[in-house]
Amino acid sequence: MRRLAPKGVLILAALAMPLVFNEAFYQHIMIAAVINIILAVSLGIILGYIGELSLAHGAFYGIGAYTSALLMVKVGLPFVLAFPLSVVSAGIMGFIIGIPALRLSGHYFAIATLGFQGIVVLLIINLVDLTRGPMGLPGIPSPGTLDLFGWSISFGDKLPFFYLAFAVMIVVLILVRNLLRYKFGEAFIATREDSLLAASLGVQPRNCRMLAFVISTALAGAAGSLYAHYTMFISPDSFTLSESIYLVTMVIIGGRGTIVGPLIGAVILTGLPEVLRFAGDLQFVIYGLMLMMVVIFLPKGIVGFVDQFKQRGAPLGN
Amino acid sequence: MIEFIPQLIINGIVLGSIYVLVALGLTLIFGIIDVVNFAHGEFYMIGAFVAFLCVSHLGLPYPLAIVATAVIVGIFGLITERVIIRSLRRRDPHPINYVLVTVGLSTFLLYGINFIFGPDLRRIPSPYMKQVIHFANVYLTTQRLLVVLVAVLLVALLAYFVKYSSLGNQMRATAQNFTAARIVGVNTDRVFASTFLIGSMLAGIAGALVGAMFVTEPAMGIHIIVKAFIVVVVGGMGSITGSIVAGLGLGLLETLAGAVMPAEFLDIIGFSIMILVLLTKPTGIFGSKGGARA
Repeated sequence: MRRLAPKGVLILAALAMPLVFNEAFYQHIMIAAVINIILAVSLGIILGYIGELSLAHGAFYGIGAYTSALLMVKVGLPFVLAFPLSVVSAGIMGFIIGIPALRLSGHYFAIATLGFQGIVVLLIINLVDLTRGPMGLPGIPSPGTLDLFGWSISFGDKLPFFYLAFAVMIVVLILVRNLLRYKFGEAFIATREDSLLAASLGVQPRNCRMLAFVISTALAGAAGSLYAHYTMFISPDSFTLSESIYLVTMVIIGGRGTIVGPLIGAVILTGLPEVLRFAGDLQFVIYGLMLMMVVIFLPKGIVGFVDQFKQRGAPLGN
Repeated sequence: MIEFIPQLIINGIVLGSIYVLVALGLTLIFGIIDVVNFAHGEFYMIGAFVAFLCVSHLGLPYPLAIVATAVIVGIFGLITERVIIRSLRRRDPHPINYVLVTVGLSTFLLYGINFIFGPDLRRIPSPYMKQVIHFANVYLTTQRLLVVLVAVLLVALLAYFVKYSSLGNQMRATAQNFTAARIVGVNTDRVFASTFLIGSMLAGIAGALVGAMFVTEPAMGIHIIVKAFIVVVVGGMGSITGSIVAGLGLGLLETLAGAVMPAEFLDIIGFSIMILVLLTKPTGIFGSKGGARA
């Protein structure tokens, strides 16, 4: 119970945030932060736990967004069906792409995912009949309204949407935590550190890597669906290689190999553009610089830095 | 249709020569230092901008500007190796850290140049763009001929250097076995620095040539790096011959197939070929070193 208390306080504080800062502008940033947290934490499974660099996370984000949007716009499904289907479709795409890509590792995995990222964006741009190509897909409906004991909550408004996205985020965090804390986390790390040794201990590296990859890509699909129904307009520009690199930057700056790291990274990199607004286009220059500096000087990111600091502060003989 | 084929082949060779110049640097850096340089396209882009500044602001003649570009981008590559790659290597990192750091460098340079010069399309003023050579029904500007000639010259020089010079031998030794090379007294730091120098010079020269033929813009590096990856993966990471064959092959394929289908589908085909090669023979057609694990 005592261990849960600080987390509970944090969650309550986060829930109160959009009520305290109730301007639309702040609420918008908070929704963006929640979506980015889902993306960064899910990418963190690949980067931190199976130890591979995926440059295609933005593509899976896009697959989720387009699936969900098209299912609602063209098929007329309600959000409660479109959302899970977008998660499933991104996961299935992850599985299909994972079959070839996960046979590779290191540089080769990064280059292969770069290729998939390119293919997905080119397909979105060129399947004009389906996606309207570079013009983007407008008129995506909001998740709709929920009638609760006579109250009508419209998710087209920012505040209810924040709580919806927040609920999804909490589910994602619990899911990822349980995945990594129990049986699989150890197996993932064993695979990352020495796949041959892991295999000799009865871990199946192929299956482990595939499981991690599919879950990660499916969660990116969930973020995509939320994004599509929040902005109500999507275009291929939002799901390019630079988006993938931006997400990688979040995970690395926060600290890979943890769940808190990507979460912190996502919050910082969502908030930073607003702080750096005066810098204009210079902000991407700063991200590039930050990515380089962190990889060289703080390979474990902010979380690693804080841990180091804590250990130094701890009494001797501990 | 048939009468266009000689023209298409010539255009394909020009395009292929550019791919070869860029891919050679990438493949050398991979083969010898074991670093996949995601910022390599930005070296090429910077080459175009340096040449542009030399010609339009300093008033240098275009051929001299190409030489100046080679020197400046080469120095830039040296600094990159010394400041970023070497300080990372001292920490003996996981291989993906090299990818991450060069991805960061690529973002930094792309948006840095974009911030300074803006996203406008420029073109390096080159006197060779106005001269047109034609024989039978094939037309080409002297600029295009220059691209092919420079590529042939540089490839020949590089091949000679790697094969016969002392430093070239040290490079090949380092590529084969880093530890053994150190034991027999090869200064690997110097080998790595020279590799980066040569690789970035080649990319810079390619940029100076393309910037006069097509356009000079901050995003040009992203367009070329993707092609260079396809070439390097198909030809074999670390293989010079592979890059030459695959580079010319991709150039020819793109211009010949480009006559009958839209360019976007060509890119999809290019990526698919790359992924197929990664799966079936990760070392590429001519590669021998490394290979995929797990």
